[in-house]
Amino acid sequence: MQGGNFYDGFRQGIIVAAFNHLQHEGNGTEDVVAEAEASSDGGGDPKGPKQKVLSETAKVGGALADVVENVAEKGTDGTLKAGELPVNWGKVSKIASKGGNLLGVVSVVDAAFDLYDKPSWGGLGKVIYETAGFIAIKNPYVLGAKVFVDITGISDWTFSKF
Amino acid sequence: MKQFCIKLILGFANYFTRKDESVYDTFNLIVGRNPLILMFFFIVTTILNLFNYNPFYFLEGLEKLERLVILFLCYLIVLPLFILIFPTSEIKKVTLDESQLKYYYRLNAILLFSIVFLSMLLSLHKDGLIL
Repeated sequence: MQGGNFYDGFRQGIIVAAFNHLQHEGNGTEDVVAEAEASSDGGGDPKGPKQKVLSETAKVGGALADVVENVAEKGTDGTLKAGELPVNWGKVSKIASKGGNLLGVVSVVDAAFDLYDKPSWGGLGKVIYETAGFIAIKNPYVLGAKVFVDITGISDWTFSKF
Repeated sequence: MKQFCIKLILGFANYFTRKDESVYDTFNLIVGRNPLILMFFFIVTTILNLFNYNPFYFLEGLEKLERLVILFLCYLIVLPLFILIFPTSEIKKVTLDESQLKYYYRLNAILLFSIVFLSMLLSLHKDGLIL
């Protein structure tokens, strides 16, 4: 850590402190998990609300550990590259590009309404921009960039200047 | 005319079709019908505008988000009509090769842009902004 970035050290400290706090709170994680397992085996829920919450946390932790294990396993046998999420990205991008086209219809019509409402050259530019986006954009990254520009109002601001 | 429209649908659907899918998949064909819906919309609004009738009277005074939601609902109402006019079973009877599909995609773009340009220029002309 010596000579390192202050922010890195600060972040590391927060993470370690948070884990430490969670581990030493109440009975300790191992005891809580053991107790939760015992109670589920023996029938009935854990007694106190705090124990209930902790047992739920342990279950969520277990599920997360399964996901991590799954990713690591897939990573080692080559089905998933290192750092990749266990999400079918191909399917997501497929739906995004087509869903974006459906919403593109609405965007074009809305731009046409703006032009009818307040006729201007900027309005005409917006209609052409939306139509071009509707016709040509199928790449989900480009679509994401367009949505960002539209949501933040950058495109509206730009076209309102004309 | 119907066959021509079906070819346009296939051309546009092909552009959004991935290598692992068929151009005749339901979602692709829905996307393929979208340019025809837009062309129809622009033709209708231009005609209404020429007859001094405001095609957007139901959107007056609404916020942008409200407008988008209403327009999306309108789209969901119009889409089944286009599915009825151009049914999937009829589209599946038409087969085009890759070069023809690309040609009809370009034709789609040219037609849509031409209609949009004409519609918008007429609107701007009517409002006295040009000519």
